[in-house]
Amino acid sequence: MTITVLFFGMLAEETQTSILELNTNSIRLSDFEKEVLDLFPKLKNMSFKIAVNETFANGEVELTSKSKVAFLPPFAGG
Amino acid sequence: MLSHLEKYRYSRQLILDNVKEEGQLHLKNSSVLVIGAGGLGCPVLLYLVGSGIGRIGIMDHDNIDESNLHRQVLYSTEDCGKSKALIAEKKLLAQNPFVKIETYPFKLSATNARELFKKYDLIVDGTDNFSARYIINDAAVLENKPVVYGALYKFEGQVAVFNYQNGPTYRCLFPNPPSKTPNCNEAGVLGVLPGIIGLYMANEVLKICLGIGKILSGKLQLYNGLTHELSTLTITKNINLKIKAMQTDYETSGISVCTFDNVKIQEIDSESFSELIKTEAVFLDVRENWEKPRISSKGLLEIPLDQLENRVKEIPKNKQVIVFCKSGGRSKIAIHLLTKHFGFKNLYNLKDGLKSCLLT
Repeated sequence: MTITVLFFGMLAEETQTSILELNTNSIRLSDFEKEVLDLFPKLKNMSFKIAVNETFANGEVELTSKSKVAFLPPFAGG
Repeated sequence: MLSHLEKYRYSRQLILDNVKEEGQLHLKNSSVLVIGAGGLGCPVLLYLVGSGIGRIGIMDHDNIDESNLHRQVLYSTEDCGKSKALIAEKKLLAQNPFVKIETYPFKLSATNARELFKKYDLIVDGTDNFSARYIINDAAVLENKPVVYGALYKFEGQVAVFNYQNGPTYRCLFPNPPSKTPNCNEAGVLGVLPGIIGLYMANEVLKICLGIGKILSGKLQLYNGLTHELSTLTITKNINLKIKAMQTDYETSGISVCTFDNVKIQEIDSESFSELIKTEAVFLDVRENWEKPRISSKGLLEIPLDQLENRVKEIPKNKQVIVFCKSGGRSKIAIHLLTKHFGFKNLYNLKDGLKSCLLT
């Protein structure tokens, strides 16, 4: 299935994209996250939280072909 | 009660069905502590004062710098070098004498936060570092105060209301500060972004005080100034998270900032140094070649201070570079030189030098 992936802030800079579509066989979010990190190894050292379909989620959440997975880092600036 | 002058001043707001005289009195009886009178704090303060919030606390330990002025709209060129909190007070009282302003021109800490928060109904987080954000979160949870939060990165902003009527807190979203890797380089920001985000924040404050509208609780709103994209993500409360007391140390990033001859220098502590030495960071030893002990690391550069200018090309600009010497003095001079005359922005000083690492 194809999953839409969104990156915000410094994550978008590291991946050089803010949106992309990924083909995956992973059902669980935690497996899908590993795939994304293998694709963009620099993200392994960065802090972020993942939202699925606009709700922050844990690794147990199951993905479907319509899922939108957003990677969001904390911002400190003010 | 509102005086005639107040009724006239706020008349365009009072005629709103959702506000009326009663709502304006709610605002007058409200107290808000704004932490950080910078990019976010300035617009928040200007509009809260304009709207007639009765009592406003301003906390900021910093002085005004000319590089603040493109976004920190409360301050003028002539204010440079003066206290942000005190200048903000002066400008805001001129804007609206009906508002009571209280100033705290010192740093928020784990020890002073709770006492201060007790005096206000609501806290505004307009700070620029993680350590302050976690202090605010924990003190607000312990004192049961809602926090209106805003944060920026380049062209993007985040807004949320945390700890509102027992709703999710900042730690439900990000349980702990980011890891120790130095990543808080001055990222840069377009002047208008803190204005946009700050006004979203002020809007939430007013709605909370008025008891109207939908509050951004349990939500994180994201705004991208380049694309106009506005998304709202849902945050769920982590019921396993219990904050029972303030932590003793919030400087978890291991990074602090000092000023040396008008140049801001980022410093890391010995603990972060010992961790970073195992990574791919570049280390720049500015001691003389005969000084012992020598350090071995994959990314080590050895350039004594007096050779630095001639060998500046050897130092990468696109990686984090940790500069060190015996006790942290020469490395500061080196960073000052490289920052001021060669445009480096990626340098970190090992605070108190190599001797602080060898002792621990």
